[in-house]
Amino acid sequence: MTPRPRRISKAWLFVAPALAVFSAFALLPILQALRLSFFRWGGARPEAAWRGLGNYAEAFGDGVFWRAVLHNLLLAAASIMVQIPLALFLAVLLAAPLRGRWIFRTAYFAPMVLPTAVIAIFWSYALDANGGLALPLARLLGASGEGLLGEARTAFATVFAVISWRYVGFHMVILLAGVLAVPGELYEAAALDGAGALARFRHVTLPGVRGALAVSALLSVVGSIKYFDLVYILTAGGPDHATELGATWIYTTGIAEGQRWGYGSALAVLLLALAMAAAVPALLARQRREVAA
Amino acid sequence: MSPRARFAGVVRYAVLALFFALAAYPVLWMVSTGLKGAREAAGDWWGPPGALQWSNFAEVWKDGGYLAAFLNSLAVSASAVVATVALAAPAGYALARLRFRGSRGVFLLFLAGMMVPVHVTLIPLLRLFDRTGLYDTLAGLAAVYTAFNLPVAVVLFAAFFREVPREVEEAAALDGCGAWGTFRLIALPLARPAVVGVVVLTLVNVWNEFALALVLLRDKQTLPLVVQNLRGEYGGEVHLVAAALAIAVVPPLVVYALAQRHLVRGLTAGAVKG
Repeated sequence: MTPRPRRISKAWLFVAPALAVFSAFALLPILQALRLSFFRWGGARPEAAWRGLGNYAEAFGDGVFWRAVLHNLLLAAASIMVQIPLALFLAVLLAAPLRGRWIFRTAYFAPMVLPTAVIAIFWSYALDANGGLALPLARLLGASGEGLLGEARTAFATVFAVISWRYVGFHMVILLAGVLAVPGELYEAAALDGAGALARFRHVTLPGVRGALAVSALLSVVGSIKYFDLVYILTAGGPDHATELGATWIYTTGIAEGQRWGYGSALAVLLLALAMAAAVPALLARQRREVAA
Repeated sequence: MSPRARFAGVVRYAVLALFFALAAYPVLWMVSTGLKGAREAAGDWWGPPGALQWSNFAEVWKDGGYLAAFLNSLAVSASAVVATVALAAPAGYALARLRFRGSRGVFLLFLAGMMVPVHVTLIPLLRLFDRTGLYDTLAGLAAVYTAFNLPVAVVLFAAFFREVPREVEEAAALDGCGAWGTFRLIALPLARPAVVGVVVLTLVNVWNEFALALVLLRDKQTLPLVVQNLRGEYGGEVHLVAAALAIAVVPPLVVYALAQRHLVRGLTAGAVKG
């Protein structure tokens, strides 16, 4: 038993530097946000003052924030109902024996490696109210002179389309791995049983990619609740909060315009709680399934 | 092949090609519009270029603000990459190999850390940076980037080291190598694929990062901050904006071309890990 303490200390030396940097710049700030959320503090009030649950009480009456949270949830639902089916469709098309599969896969995933700022600026031109590429579509949808992003009626759907442009390929890669992992014999057996393409998809492919679908859905939900940069650059949450998300509103009230650090922290904690409420049960369910399997 | 099967094949390729064009078009546009002359670009944003004006790229590149931001991004990315590998490799090794009390807790902490939402940390980090003089410094930003890239790097390293056969390391231990020596001389040289994976993932993440740079920098700028303002900066000069965008996507696309497999695996690590 005597050599054990030495080994313990040695292993900690390997881990401690990483742990220290992660704690100082990622973990402790989260705890700090929790503490800050109980204070009235900000650019206009340089002296921090205890406010108890006041920030949270105010947050519950903050219509813009709840509208933003609703947008986060809408984004998550739309991602699951639009991006993932489209990604699965492409994955199934790519899963068949196909010359040049890697070229398609490489191109579909490429938007994931481009800087968000670059993507946002490109789309701001494509969707521009005057010279935009999407003008015919805008006219078709009856957009006024403000363009698809400038009008409250169409802005959210337009932002969602741009986000989808970036993430469909990402989900496609996850799902393609799932589709390719389905044993070919299952398809042959189903074909022998007289199952058509649609039946094979329903009874062989779909059950086979359940795990990958669950992962994609979870990443969509968590990602949608955290989403910030593309929307911030494209619309800054406007027009008239039509594309406001939790994170853009936190930035506006807590940092940029409002400089209300305490209140902004309370909103951030609420958004974090929402993300965890979505992710933790899903992760636990996954773990339970794995244990059972 | 039956006519029906051939028809299905053609339709399949047509659909795939359509989505290919959709995915590739923006980068194509940046390059082609970046080659247009000023008048041509102002008249038509979307048509193909006539005479190719290569000087646009040089003009944007030599613009003081752009070049400075490019170099800042390079410096921040390089420091964050080096720091991430240097910190994550030993940690991943210890978590995979050296059983110690609390190792499971530490591993779970890093695993959960992969999901830390940046927006919760923005205000506290801003306060911390104000107090410590790190505000508006590249070193401070690089430190935060390191912290946010560590979790996935540690998890990737740990997963890699778990797969390496133990025998070589045990032989080294018999030869009198300590834990650190075994890690440095035996395990780390074997871990080249993991190092490459972490390097490319961190590089692309840091090169593209926007929110933290927006909050923690003011006078110093990284490339995404400059890119964000390009339309305001160059006004109606679409050809210059496009050229600037094209330059900004070169580093991540080169990394993607050279190390596609690693990068895809890293970016979908949450999925692989499950």
